[in-house]
Amino acid sequence: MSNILIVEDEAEIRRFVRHALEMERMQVFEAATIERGLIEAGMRKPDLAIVDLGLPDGDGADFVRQLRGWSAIPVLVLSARGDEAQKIAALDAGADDYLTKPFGIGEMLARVRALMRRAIRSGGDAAPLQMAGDVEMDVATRNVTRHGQAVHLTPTEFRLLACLVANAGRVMTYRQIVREVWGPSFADQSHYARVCMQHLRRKLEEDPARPAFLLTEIGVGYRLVLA
Amino acid sequence: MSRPPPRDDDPDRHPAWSGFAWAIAGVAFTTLFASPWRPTLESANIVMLYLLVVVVVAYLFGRWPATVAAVCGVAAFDFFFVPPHFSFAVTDVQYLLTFAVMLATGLAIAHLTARLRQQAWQARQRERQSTELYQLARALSGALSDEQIAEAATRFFGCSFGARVLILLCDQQGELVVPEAAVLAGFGPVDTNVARAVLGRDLPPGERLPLVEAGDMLCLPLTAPMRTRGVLLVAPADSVPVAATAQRLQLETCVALIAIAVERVHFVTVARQATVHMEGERLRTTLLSALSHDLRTPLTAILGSAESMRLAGPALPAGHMALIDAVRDQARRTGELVENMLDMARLESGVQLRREWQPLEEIIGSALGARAAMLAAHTVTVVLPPDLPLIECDATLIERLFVNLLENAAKFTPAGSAIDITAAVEDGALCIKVADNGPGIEHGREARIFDKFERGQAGAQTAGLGLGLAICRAVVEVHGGSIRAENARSGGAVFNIRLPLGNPPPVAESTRDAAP
Repeated sequence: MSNILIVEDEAEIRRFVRHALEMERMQVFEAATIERGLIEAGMRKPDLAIVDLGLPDGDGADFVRQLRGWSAIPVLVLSARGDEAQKIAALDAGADDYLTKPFGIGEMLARVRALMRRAIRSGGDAAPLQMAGDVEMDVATRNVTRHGQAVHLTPTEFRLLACLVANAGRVMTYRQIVREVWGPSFADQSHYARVCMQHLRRKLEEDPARPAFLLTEIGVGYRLVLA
Repeated sequence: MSRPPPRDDDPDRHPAWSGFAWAIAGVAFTTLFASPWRPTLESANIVMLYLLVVVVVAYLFGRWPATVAAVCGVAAFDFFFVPPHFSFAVTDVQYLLTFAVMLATGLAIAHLTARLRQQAWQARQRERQSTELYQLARALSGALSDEQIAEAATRFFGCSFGARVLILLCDQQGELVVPEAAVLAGFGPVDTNVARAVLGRDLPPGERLPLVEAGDMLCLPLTAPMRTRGVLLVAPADSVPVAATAQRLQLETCVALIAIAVERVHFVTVARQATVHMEGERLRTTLLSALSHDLRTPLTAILGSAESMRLAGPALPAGHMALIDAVRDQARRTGELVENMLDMARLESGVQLRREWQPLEEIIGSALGARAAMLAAHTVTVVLPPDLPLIECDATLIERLFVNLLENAAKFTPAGSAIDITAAVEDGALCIKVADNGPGIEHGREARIFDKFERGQAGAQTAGLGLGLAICRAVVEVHGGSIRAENARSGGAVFNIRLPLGNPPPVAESTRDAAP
């Protein structure tokens, strides 16, 4: 049975999130403040944390930053639309994904499951990774195929894909991507990532304007979903 | 206005007639005083007495009365005390030497004493000027408004030059602000054209202050470090031209002081306005985020609770399920209305754009993804040229633009309709067309549909506040573009969006392979 920690100051939201997660046979611990949340996280050793961005004793990003000092558990952030800067700060601090309020239960459960799966899978297996549209990537041989045909990627495109694959399911901010693919000195050149992504989508996606696995998180970054 | 205090003028430039009278009187008194002692006093001592008179006269009345005293003294000594008495004739020739030495000594004393006096006078003068300048500087340093500066300047010019002043300042655009006719009339005949000409002249740093005279007035530019802030008009009180009496250096110094004070007050005002603006901005942002939090939280709770009720077992009767679904759907719809209202409020309160170079395809893709469910029954085609340049925009706002346009199209066209999105570069702008083949826009309403709270056909059964297209227009306008709606010839509505292109950054760099 998995343990979930929810750090949220609104009791009503805590209540239904708890209810939905318990229906999924998960055990839920609640905290209303960052301070309490960190204590619970240390004590209960949860498998995943759901954190609201606006907490009475600080920013959700602070919680993530402090938690990341000693824990690698997936963190799902709850935020409001229009708070892109806050979202990006939380993701840069190490959060894995975000949900925009108001959100549906189905969506929340899907994100939670995806993050839990990801946490388990990151043990590493050698099998080729499957993506939508019959795209496969063999990490070991660095081969990318689509419908069984090899696709030629430039080294930069490959690095971008590899970076997203390595963080499949997570939202990667532009800053994180550019830092990893181009290097820290390019951190402000987020359009590099966008242009390169455009090329990658044209090579791998059926309809680049409607990507199936190289998803855009508008104003924040990208997320790759594995099939 | 206070009258200037009596000024002590340079005594040697305008000697008073009374000085000469006193000089002669002094000589006469000495003669009368010494006459009874003529038998006993040595003539050398009598010479001393006359010289003493020269010293006293020089000290009290200056050079020229003292010169008169010296000459008269020699004459009186010769006439009364040198034998033969009561005659200018001299029997003993050696007295000629006495006269010469006496005259020379007298003149020298007159000259030296007068110079001493002159220097003392100049020192006093300088001290008075510096005191006045100090007072002006102090008054100006405490001035917090243009009125206080004008007051200090008026006081200073009144005391120092006996003149009246009027300060004409420039507005934001650097145009001279001419005060009301009443103020001008009270001051005198002001030629504002001369003032404008003085203002227009660019003074290189270090250049001497140009003294431009307009009538009997002086027109001086208030040149501060940043720029010329205005013009100082100086009018003489008694129609004595100011330039003649004023000390040039003092004039320049006080004009510079006033100019700097005017500039300081200007920047104080600017800083205060900026603070007020920032405070207002902060208040709006706080208010908006508090509002959005307070509206979203209950909506999230309603939506989440309704959904988790559906998950709960044992299964509820079908009627209850329908009610729960209604709660959920209404909560969703209210959520969208709230989002639109908040978007509009944010756009209207002057949003901070997070501009970055974006490919249009990605933004459209994101909008399509966000409204996929709503558009399931429509056929959306996106045709973009592969070499479309990046646009510098706030991606989240431009996404809202497309989301609202797509929502609008989905709402007002029947299921199965086609929505086409195309884009092209036309004379320096990115032109995007969003066209549908629905019923189109009611004739004559093409411009009005972008107004707030303007809803489709009257009485149409469509939900919404009519904010969607208003948001579209606001988003396009904050990006410096334009949006226009029209009916296609083949039927259906077409939305034309123009966004300025700017100078896209080089993209070759990004696809180039960095060193691994």
